[in-house]
Amino acid sequence: MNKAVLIGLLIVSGAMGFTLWAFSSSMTPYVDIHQAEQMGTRVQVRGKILHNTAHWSFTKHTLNFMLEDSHKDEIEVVYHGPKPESFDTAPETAATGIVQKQPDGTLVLESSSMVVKCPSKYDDETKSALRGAYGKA
Amino acid sequence: MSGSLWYQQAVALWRKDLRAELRTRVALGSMGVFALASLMLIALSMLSLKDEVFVDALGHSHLAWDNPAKMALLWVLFCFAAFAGLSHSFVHEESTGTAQNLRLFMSAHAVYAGKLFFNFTVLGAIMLVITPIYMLLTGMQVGGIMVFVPIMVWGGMSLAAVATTVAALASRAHTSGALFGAIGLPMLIVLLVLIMQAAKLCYSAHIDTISIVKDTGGLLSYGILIITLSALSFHFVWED
Amino acid sequence: MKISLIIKQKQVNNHSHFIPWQQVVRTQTGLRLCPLNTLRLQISNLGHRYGGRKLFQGVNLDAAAGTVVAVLGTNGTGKSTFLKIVAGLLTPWQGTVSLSLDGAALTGEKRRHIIGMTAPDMALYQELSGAENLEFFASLRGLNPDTAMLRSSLEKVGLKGRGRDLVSDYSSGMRQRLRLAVAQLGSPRLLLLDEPSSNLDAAGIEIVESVLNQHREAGHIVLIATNAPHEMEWGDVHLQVAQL
Repeated sequence: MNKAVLIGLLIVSGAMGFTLWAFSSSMTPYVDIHQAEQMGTRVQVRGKILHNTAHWSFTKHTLNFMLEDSHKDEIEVVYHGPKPESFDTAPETAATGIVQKQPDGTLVLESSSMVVKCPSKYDDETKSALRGAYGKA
Repeated sequence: MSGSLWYQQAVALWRKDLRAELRTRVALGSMGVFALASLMLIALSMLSLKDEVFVDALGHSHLAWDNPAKMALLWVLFCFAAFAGLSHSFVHEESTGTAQNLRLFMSAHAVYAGKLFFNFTVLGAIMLVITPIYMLLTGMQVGGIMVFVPIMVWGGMSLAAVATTVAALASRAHTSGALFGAIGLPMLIVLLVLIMQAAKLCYSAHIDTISIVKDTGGLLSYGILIITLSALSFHFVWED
Repeated sequence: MKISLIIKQKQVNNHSHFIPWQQVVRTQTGLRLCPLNTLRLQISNLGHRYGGRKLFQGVNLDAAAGTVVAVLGTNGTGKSTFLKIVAGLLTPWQGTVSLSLDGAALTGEKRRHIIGMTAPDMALYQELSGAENLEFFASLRGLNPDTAMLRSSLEKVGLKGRGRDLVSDYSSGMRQRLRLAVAQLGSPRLLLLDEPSSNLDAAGIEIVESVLNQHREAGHIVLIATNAPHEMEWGDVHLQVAQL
């Protein structure tokens, strides 16, 4: 095979792999807790972090906490990975993973990726400016 | 073919297109008029949209038109401008009959590279002018500079690559309109999804290294993917 | 010993039109004396069709260096298409075209590099000047298009002093002269001319004839697609292109 074509195909396969990796997270659908329990596939669940339930295990490198979605449904999240820096102050998160049934029958969202949602500092700047202008929260 | 001749041919084509463009201003004109008209429309609508705030189901208040949304509209503008103007250089060669001479003198790879360089330059110039005006009008912020700059540079590169590939196909097909949609749309959707993902990161409060690598690197790798695939298959389209 | 001497001489005379040694080549027109280091164009059983319409088939040619071939045929028989196939711009429906230099087949970039062509539908850039067009195509050939080279190219086709004018301001005859100048860039060994003297005045026709003679003397092959009687006369060989 032509050397240039071979190099081209190598670049294509590398670039395709990287693009798919970057693209994959955007392909995971956002669902609520009820849907996540029904689907059994990889999903993203967004909701409020109930901080009083959070527990970080140094030995297992897991973070357990309860997540509450907009319908006030709750699910336990077991996140495997390094604890996000801003977790303790973040009001909400979007956890990506699969809902699995534990031996005791409870449903748990086994997550390997989590985006901690803070109200953007850029939005905050604008909002505080608005508050100043209109005198309301 | 020797590497230096390939490069020399591509640069010569880029210089020729640039010279012709500066004389006729067809691509810059069509893209510029479109972009400036869109900016005017956005500026007028901004007056009412700027101050809107909504409260979501979790009780948090958000700006109705936040920075990622502003970034999205900016890229919609770039996409339309790119598709309005960047096809000209290819279509013009075919419609005036100069493409035959290019086929006689140049390798297909050199033609693709020359046209790609030219489209990078034109889109880059349009983006350099439009982005600051847009940011002034809408109040869109830079956000994380480590993400913002790659979005603009690599996103622009990928968009120019998609537009060049679609233009090459369209110039050779009799049903160019249908082909624009059938091939351009899937390529554009992937690009826009990647840009929006990076834009979200750009304006989030905490930007971690892995996310930067993934989201901005995704844009770069997508651009490289389109360029390499197009370069590998261009001669099938270009040659009879 | 003899061979090494020949190679030495060849290197000395590489850039001149002087041809010191010759070889015997068997062609369609019989035995011919041809310069060494020469080009050979062999076309066998060539045929082409557009969709369901057959243009020509069964065309054969074996042209040695220094031959001018007049390609003849009525309108619509595919003379221009034939030249485009020889140039490598079109893939033939059937048959082969092979170009070789001293027996070694030329393909890809090497092949493209030795072919020059003019045709009525091969347009130049209207928005650029004559000199800018020449400069662009010379760069594509890997030449260094300096002012002196551009000036002499324009002078050869009688466009002295008109190099700075835009091609859109040229008359049809001037455009044809410029096409001729572009086709000759880098002194191509295979020159393909489709109706070369169309739109040309008497002086222009003389220029075409002198171009032909130069290429013939230099041991190049020239193909002219034509219906004009004076152009037919230029051909050493007449090749009829028609549907069989």
